[in-house]
Amino acid sequence: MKNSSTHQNPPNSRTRAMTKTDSNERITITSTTIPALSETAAKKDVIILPELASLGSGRHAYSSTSISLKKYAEAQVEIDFLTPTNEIYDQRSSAIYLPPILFVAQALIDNQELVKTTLDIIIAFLRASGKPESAPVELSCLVEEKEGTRSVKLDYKGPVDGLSALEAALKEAVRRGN
Amino acid sequence: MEIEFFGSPPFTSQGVVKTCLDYLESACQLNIIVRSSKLQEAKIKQIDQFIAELKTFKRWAIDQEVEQLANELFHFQCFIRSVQSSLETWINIKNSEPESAWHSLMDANEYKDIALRINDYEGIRKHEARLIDARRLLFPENMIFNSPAFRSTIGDCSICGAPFQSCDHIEDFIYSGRLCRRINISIIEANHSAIVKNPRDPRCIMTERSDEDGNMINMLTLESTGEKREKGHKAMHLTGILLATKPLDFD
Repeated sequence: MKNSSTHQNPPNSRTRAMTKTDSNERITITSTTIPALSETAAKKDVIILPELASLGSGRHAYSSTSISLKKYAEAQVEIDFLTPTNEIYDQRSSAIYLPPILFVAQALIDNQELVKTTLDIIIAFLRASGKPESAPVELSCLVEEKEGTRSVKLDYKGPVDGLSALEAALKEAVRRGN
Repeated sequence: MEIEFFGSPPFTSQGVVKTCLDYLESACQLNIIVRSSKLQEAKIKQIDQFIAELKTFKRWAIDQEVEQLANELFHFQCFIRSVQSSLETWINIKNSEPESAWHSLMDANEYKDIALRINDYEGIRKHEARLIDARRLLFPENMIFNSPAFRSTIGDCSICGAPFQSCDHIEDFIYSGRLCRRINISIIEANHSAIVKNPRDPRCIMTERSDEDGNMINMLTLESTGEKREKGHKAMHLTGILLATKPLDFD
């Protein structure tokens, strides 16, 4: 086991813009390739992705919070994993690592409130599971620019209550990307 | 099972809660380092018996679907376990076992955090303040920790026993007096470990480091362990805990 103080960056991503809101909060916008969705997954609204660094490996690793988040969210949004999973990737630092989530293009067209609704669900999930408000949250949100091609990716690291500001940042990033 | 602490039937919810409060008070009286080790050790053992009785009432509440009472009893279970772990901290300090004392104190913190999620009042906040003071007074200010990352199996649900991906329970949620956790997890592959100031599990401490001559030093006591490692160029040998696996009582 090697010691490291940084986390892996996903492959095939390039930084498009970075906005820094305050010392505890960081939003990074990049453009990245996304995996092809199966026919079933493409009919969902939100897809839980494995750790992005594991996407190209053929051995997907889902965040340890991903199964509980899916259970919590699926009563309110159509959500599923990209692929079936039997194992998870656990990073035991004080940060809360949420799984990367992909908003499906067609679902965003059908439901303008999807991003806000999903972010509200994630905030409620974190609070209901007793996670400390002081713990930094890490979340990547991907929005399909065109079905099955590239997507805008927003990486967030900051407090739980900062998640609610991501909707505007994502919309702006998508607007600039088009 | 013979009822020792909760009196004779008929039992009432108020009576059971009052017994818990009275017992908590008796345990807290010993929760000061200068109290007799003999009395503290006896209380640590007795708390196990008390919790066993408390759980019979909690199970009754779960069976009867009286969720509020089940959660209230779970609050007392966690609060009393926190005091028990705090008593163990004092005993470990008095026995010159600082690493065990650290672990006990972290157990006390974790039990307290769960108890606080159910009920928040002055008594438990005072207990919390005492734990914070103990951390500050008894242990070094700048400790470093391990934060490992690994692939594991998903495991089973601690509430229903089913494979975790196939049930409806959500990790870290409280269900009728029990905390949902993933259990029976197997680590498939260790990935890396970061050295951090703020770990998820503060039990994962660095325990030993080498000095400039390669002598290993206990990082809590600063005593030499007697072990000598090869000297490295501008490098230090470190020994630490990557994963603490002792289960806490959240059932």
